[in-house]
Amino acid sequence: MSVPARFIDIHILQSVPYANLNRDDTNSVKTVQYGNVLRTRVSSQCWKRAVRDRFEELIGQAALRTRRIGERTAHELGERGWPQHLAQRSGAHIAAASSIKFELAKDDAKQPVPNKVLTNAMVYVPQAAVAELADIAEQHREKLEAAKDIKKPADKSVLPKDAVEAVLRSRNGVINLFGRMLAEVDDAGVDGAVQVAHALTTHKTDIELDYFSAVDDITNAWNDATGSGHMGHAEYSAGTFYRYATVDLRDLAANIGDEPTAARELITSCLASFIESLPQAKKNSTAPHTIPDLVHISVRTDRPLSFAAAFEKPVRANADGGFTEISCTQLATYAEAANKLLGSGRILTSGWAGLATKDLTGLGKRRESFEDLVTSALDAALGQDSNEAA
Amino acid sequence: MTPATPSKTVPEPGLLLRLAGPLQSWGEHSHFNERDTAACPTRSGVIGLLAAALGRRRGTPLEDLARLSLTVRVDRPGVLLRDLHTVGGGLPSKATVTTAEGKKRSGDTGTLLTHRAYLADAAFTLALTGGPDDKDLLVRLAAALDSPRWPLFLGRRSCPPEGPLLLGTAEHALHHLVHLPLATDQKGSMDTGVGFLSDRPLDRLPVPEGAANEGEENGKHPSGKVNDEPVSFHPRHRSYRTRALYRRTLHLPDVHRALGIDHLEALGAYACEHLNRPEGSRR
Repeated sequence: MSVPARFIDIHILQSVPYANLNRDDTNSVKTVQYGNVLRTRVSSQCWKRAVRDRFEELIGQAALRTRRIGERTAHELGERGWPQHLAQRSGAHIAAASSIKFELAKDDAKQPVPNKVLTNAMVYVPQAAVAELADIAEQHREKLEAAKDIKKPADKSVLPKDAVEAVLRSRNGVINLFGRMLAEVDDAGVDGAVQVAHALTTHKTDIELDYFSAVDDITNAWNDATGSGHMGHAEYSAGTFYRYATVDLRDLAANIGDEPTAARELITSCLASFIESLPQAKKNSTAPHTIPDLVHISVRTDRPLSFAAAFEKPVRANADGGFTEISCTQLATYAEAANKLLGSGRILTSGWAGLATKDLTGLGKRRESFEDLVTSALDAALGQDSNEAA
Repeated sequence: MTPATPSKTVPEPGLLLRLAGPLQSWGEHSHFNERDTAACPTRSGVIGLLAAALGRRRGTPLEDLARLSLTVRVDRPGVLLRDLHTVGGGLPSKATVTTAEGKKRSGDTGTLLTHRAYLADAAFTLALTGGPDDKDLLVRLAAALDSPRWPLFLGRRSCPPEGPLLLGTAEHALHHLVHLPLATDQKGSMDTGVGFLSDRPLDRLPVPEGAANEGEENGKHPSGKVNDEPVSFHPRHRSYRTRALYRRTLHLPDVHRALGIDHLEALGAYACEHLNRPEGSRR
């Protein structure tokens, strides 16, 4: 009898040069104390957004998070040739039809604009939902032609609440993987299947203060004054990050149903996005576009397992400098010790790919490329032939 | 390495857990955009974690879990980290979401700022103990923590636990809570002592010889109250009750102290020799 796969853990070591990927409210680099020393940190929310952007691109699906779903539907109806006023009224009736409370957008004189409805909660729907909402309006066109405009939050929609809420409940790959919070519509909440940890450096870091001044080109050309056009300072930091995330196969199956092919596509794209993504803050100032030095994936039957504690004791650069090599060794040593303690029979498969020249036995089998690594992990997790995986 | 169990204390069967990670967050008075953290794992947080491991949905009765006693050993207290999180930047105030109070944010920018407090660099060892009638429940909990229904986290979903969470089960859990390797390399903890917190009197801790200083509190009487006893996790009727908090400090010179891999290996050796691992864990 085969042991069911439960969690796909992905661990990444990645060096990022002088950059500020994630700022706090003082424009400084985010940090965290760990093992008694200060590290650079990128919050899970920040990196998850970068992952989601890449993921939407890879699977070719987008999701909309908006309060302006009514206006967007009105726009769609306009494109279908509806007269402008009727399209706007219909969009407003769509937005007013759900259990989500709403208000009206105000004009410059602070007067409410009829039919310009803003839902009080953001809906989060597949892109395709816009067309489906417009279809509902089409089905009830006569009712809408006879209806009144929406002028205040107490006005009632003439459209069926059930049909509109069914669309607000609809999902696509993005929502099935990352989840959705929408308390106002019954059963619209989706528990995400991915858990992402804050990324932190494997070693102590310092915040570098960059003082800069900007030249005024005219002053420079005419040379008639001294001083710069502008000056200020910015903060940066460099380091080798440990990044960790886990995909819960059972939660994903609960969201998408028993669909091994779909699960495979979503997880493949999710892991690829996690490997390839990088937060884009201040990218034009520092271009920190690196790739991971090491990616380790394991498929576990028991529980997710973070290896952050491999770096609880901060790694130190050796005489030649460099944190990457020692971080890789440390990760492999820790993985071996942790798996021994928990019992290695709980790992269905594990492997790694990276730039290291050394053998890292503790991390399983070496793979040629990140793509090979992801493929082999999914073969083990879901079965090579997706028909058999059920 | 393990001194004989003092005869005075009554053994309580229980589980030994380890709650450690770069970040944890145990909300106490969290309200909308201010998400705070207590200085150590709360009863509601730990009971929530157990319920998640068992696969109980929100709103499921908790009485059986609430019967269990929780004693926390503070291996490393950690430091407070306040994280700023923004939502919906770049929009005028009137175009942003309504706050939970039903109002709009004032000011020129409508970016919602939420502050989230975390406990960074903290590590705790926990004994979850029950009476003789709770043995079945403890066995089920051990299996669930070992192979949880939902991924477990330390108060917030972005705070996964590092390394092993369940160390094992024992007939005399408090004895092992005192003797398990400490996740710290701070030698200073030998002088200042290691803190213990519980929902029951702490004079029941089996104290190794010389570990309790003359004149220090013996934890027999409550040192205060905290409002973290969960009554229900139902999303719309979430409620908590107040309970007594007992504190005690012990000086543990013989206990192994280390960080990272060294600590993990010491834990492994200790667990292998003294603790029972859940059934089915050696597949």
